[in-house]
Amino acid sequence: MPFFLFALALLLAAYSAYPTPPPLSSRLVLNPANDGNAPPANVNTRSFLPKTGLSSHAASITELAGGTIACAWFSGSREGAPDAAVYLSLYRSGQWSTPRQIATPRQTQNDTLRFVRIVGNPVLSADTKGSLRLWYVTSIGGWSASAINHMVSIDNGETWSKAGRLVTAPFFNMSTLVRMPPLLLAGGQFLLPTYHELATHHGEATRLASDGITVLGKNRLPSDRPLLQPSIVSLPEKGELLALLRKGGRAPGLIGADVFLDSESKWTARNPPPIPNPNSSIALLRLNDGRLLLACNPSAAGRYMLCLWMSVDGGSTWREALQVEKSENTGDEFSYPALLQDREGLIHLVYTWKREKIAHRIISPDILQPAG
Amino acid sequence: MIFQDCWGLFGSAALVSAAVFSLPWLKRWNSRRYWPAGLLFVALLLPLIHGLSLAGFLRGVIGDLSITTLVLVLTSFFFPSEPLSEPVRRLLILVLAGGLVLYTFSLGPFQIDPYEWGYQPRVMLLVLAVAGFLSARRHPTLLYYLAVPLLAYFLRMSASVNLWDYLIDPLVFGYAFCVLLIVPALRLRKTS
Repeated sequence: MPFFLFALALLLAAYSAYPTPPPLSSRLVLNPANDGNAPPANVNTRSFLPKTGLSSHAASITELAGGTIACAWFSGSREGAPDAAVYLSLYRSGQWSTPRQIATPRQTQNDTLRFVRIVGNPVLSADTKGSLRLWYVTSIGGWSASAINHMVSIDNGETWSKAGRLVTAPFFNMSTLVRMPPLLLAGGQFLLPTYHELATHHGEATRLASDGITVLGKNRLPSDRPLLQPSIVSLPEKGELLALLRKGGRAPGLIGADVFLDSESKWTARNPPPIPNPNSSIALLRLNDGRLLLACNPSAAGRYMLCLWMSVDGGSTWREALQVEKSENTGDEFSYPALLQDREGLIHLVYTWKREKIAHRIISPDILQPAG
Repeated sequence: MIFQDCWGLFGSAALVSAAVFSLPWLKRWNSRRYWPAGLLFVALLLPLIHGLSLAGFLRGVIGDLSITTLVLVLTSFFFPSEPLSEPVRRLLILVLAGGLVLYTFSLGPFQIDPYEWGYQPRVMLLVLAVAGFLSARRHPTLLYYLAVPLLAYFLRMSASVNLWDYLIDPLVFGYAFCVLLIVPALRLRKTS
């Protein structure tokens, strides 16, 4: 009897296991290109989102089906305070709407039936069916004990589903975080850039089912030094995915780089771009014309300078294209950028402005000229 | 997710109730433990602080228990055995071996992450089949302990679709580590 039961259990488990997925590039859903008209020229404006608390940080941005831009960030008395919540604001007709709290520790605790102390790092993405997805991290203590949660809205952020918890790590499901938006895959699946920072600092590419919660698989991004917060773009002309990562740890260093070669079905480390990084988040975007845009703090001295860098050769070489912010005071902070190219072709950059509020800059691609 | 969330709460409450009433001076109550243990189990599930139960609080810290842990906790509660039965000892050897591979590589600075194997686990199932049949030739009861997590995986009783999460968690690994390595080492030191 026990032999029979064990054999039956083995067979049923093998039957129910998910099959090995097909190559990634065949399943990537590319973002819709613009409408063919040239985007407005010479645009470079800065505005601020409505202030929501003493401290605001870690904005994420996406475009909804009707062309509305949605932005989420977390805000409270300070980062990691129990009163911090995730806020959402919508950009319509040149105006940001009054921000609304969409995720709090208490609400997440009630939804997931488990203790939650803090929330942070929201990530927004519009899926292939037009629903608005939100992933965000929660923790019972510091960020290294975090887990990822997911909510979905089918009415452009008016109402949200209950939060659900992703299971991503073997040690009490601790220490998987999210910062950058996913790539969309066929069948409504997602390739979500995640990272781990409990004992080691490394990036991961996590494949999610169309429900946004079920983890179907993940791959560790190789690195020989601490790296965090991968930002991933597809390079269809090369059959590759490119991930750039924030340098972790205290020592000064460079941004990290990994590539996923479909031909080899694995991630491999690539020589890092020669861009300093003061242990600060970066954002990577592939423009409609194939150029790559990187928002980062290119100074080992701190987050006082925020720039856009550009690559015209799929990430092999990089040049500074625009200085977005620079302060004489190296203690000032312009950090945690998020990038989006809207359907008109304009580039939207949101970022933390001195930890006080979220700044929004709109830039037309024509003014991004790699410096000599 | 409602079923999986309830199952997770059930696991945390069962762990605490069974652990408390498996303490030596309470274990002597034998079957008279069942009612107070049941009451404690229910009390742990009652919403207390901001609508959160004590089981929910614990679940926030330790996550969802593996099926192996639950099976061991419940069998040790209903069928206490001193010393450990041989099938359980052999199960703990498998847990220890699996945990050493899983936690060392998943949490360490290595390029290999065995946790990834649990998503498409056919190789893991093959290893489990060989290990199970070989180590159960003299103790076939072990196969029940292995079959239950596999059936739970088939039924997706937990929120995870990773086979590792059904077979092992840090609690059962820590228990196996203590029972198989720490306690014998302390005894050896005492006698030498």
